[in-house]
This record gives sequence, C-alpha cells and structure tokens, in this order.
Amino acid sequence: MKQHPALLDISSYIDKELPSYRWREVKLHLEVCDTCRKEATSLRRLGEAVAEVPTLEIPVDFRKQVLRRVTPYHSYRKPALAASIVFASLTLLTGGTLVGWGLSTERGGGNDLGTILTSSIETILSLLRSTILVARIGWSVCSSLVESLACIVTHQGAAIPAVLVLTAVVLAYFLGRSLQGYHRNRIA
Amino acid sequence: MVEQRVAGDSDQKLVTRILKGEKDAFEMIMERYQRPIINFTYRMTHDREIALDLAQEVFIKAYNSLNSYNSGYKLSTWLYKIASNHVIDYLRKKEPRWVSIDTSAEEDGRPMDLPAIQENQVDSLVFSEKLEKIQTAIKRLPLSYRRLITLRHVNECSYEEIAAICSLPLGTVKNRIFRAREMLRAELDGIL
Ligand SMILES: [Zn+2]
Repeated sequence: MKQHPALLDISSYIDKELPSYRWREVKLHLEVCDTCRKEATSLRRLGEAVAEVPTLEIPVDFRKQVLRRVTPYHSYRKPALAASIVFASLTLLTGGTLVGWGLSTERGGGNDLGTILTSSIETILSLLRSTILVARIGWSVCSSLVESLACIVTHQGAAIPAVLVLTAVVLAYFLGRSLQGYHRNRIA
Repeated sequence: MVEQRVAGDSDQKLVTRILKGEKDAFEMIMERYQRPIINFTYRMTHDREIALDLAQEVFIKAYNSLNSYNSGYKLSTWLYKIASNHVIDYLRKKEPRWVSIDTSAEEDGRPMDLPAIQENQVDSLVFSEKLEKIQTAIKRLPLSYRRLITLRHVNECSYEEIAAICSLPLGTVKNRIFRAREMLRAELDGIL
C-alpha cells in the first residue's frame, strides 16, 4: 500500500477493529512509513495515558450497602404458600375431627378421639381424591373465578392463601357432613 | 464450600439464582463487576463520593431489573449500559451545558468551551501533574465522547460492545473515538 491510510483507519488499527485484510494492509504500511508509524505510536500512548488515570479504592462495605437496599425476588411466595397449606390442612383436620367427635358424642356413639381422627384422615384423603377429579372438570370455570379473585386482591401473593382458606372452609363443611353420615351408618 | 460453588457459577447461573430469591448471589456479580463499573463512574464524574454513589445506584437498578435481563447479551454489556445511562442522566441534570450528545458543535469535533476546573472539583487524591492534565483533558471532552473513550480505554470494551452499550451505529462509535482522540491529543500536546 503506497498511499497513507486514513487517520481514522490508524485509530481503528490500534484498537484491532479493522477487517483482517485491511488490518494487514495497514500493518504492512506502518512497517515502511515513518509518518504513519509515529501517528500510531502517538495514539497508542494516548490510550495508555487515559487508562493510567488512578483508580478509586472501593469501600469494604460497598456490596453490603447495596444488598441492604434491595429485597429478594419472590421471597413472599414460598412462606405464604407453605403457611397456607399448613393452615388449610390443620383447619381441615381439626375442624373435621371436632365436628365428627361432637356428632358422635351427641348421638351417644362413644367413639374415642383416635378412631375419629383416623376416620377424619380417611375421609380427607377420599375427599381430596374427589376434589381433584371435580377440580379437573371444573377447572375452566374455576380459573376465571380465581382470576377475578386475584384481580380484587391486587397483591399476587395474597390470592393464594385467600383461595386456600376458602377451599379449606368448603372442605371442612363437606368433611363434617360426611362424618355425620359415617357415624349415622355406624350407629345404625 | 458454598462460597466455592458461588465463585464458580456463571453470570447466567447467578442471575437465575437471584431470580429464585437468593439475593446474596448478587454479591458475587458485584464482586465481578464493581471495579469496572466504579472505574467508569469515576472517570466520568471525577468525584470519589459521587462515583461511589452512582455505582451503588447502578447495581441497585441492575438488581431491580434483573428479571428483564436478556441473556442474549453479556451481563457486562448490560451493566455498562445501565451505568452509562445512569451517569449520563446524572450529568445531564448536574451539568446541562456539557451534555448535548448529538449537537453539531460536538460533531465539529471541537472540545466544549469549558471554564477551568475549580480547585474543589479536583479529587482530593494527589495526582502527578501529568495525570492531572490527562484527567482535565478527559473531563473537557463532550460527554458523549468522554463516555466512548472511557469505555474503550478504561473498560477495554470493543467497538461492538460500545455500540450496544450506547445504542449507536458501529460507524459512529469508530468516528467518535477517533475524534475524541484527536481532541485529547490537541489538549495534551507536548505532555505525552
Ligand atoms: Zn504512511
């Protein structure tokens, strides 16, 4: 290459930002041209000088300070969901057992608490199975209801416990009814 | 043991863990990128306290928008983009006369007509005369040029990365870096 490369190309050359064929052309030119070589050297020195400006010492608590000012992603979801499940299960178990026990005593059935508890668990399991079946069929209808609930409760996390508590109340009611029938049959 | 696992995780893996609620995984991301980000904010503002404050705000912004991070980009590019926009916003409010990114005055390639740097504007660190002159020359660059030259020489970004960070065409990046160098050379004539 006999002609001097454009200064813009020399600038890109020192940054290794030219297409490889062009980069080689400029390189070969610099080997034979004092003027352009000086230009490249001057630009390189300039780059080194800019990079040389002293760096700041980072405070030891820099990262801790940032972490103190941010909140975890989705942290509210897991505990809320776990608490809802535990709450719903306890409501079901306690409610069902008490209702069943109360009915049994009232009717003079004389069943002990252990028997009632076992039958409660059995009933819960069978109820859960049928609930799942019903839920599958009625999902398309229910999902719109759940969506509406979620809209009303603007905080997304709060919709989960709300729906679960509602489910627990409905299930407890059916559990009581079912235990009533169970004991009625036993007494009969 | 946990620390070792964290240290070995890729940026993408760390992002996933943070989004699952592991806030502390962000500390590793900061450990990786605090130096280049602080270097950038410091070279752009030339003020220790402001640079550290801006860098913290950059990381907070990044954390809060991690769920919109596109893993198609390098995390460093994404962080520089946030840092670059944040610093420019800050300087635009603080020094409006310096910041007219695409004005014809800048395209002329002439350094802006700035007053001499006041004593209290110079960081308390003691610089050698040469370093101070370089610092002054960088500070006198139009903001859009200062940003590009900083990303190129301090953060060692490629033209392509700079183009992505500043949302500029590659040709513009190439031209502006060249012009910035010409301005700096004119300012630093006889020093280098
Ligand atoms: Zn030549």
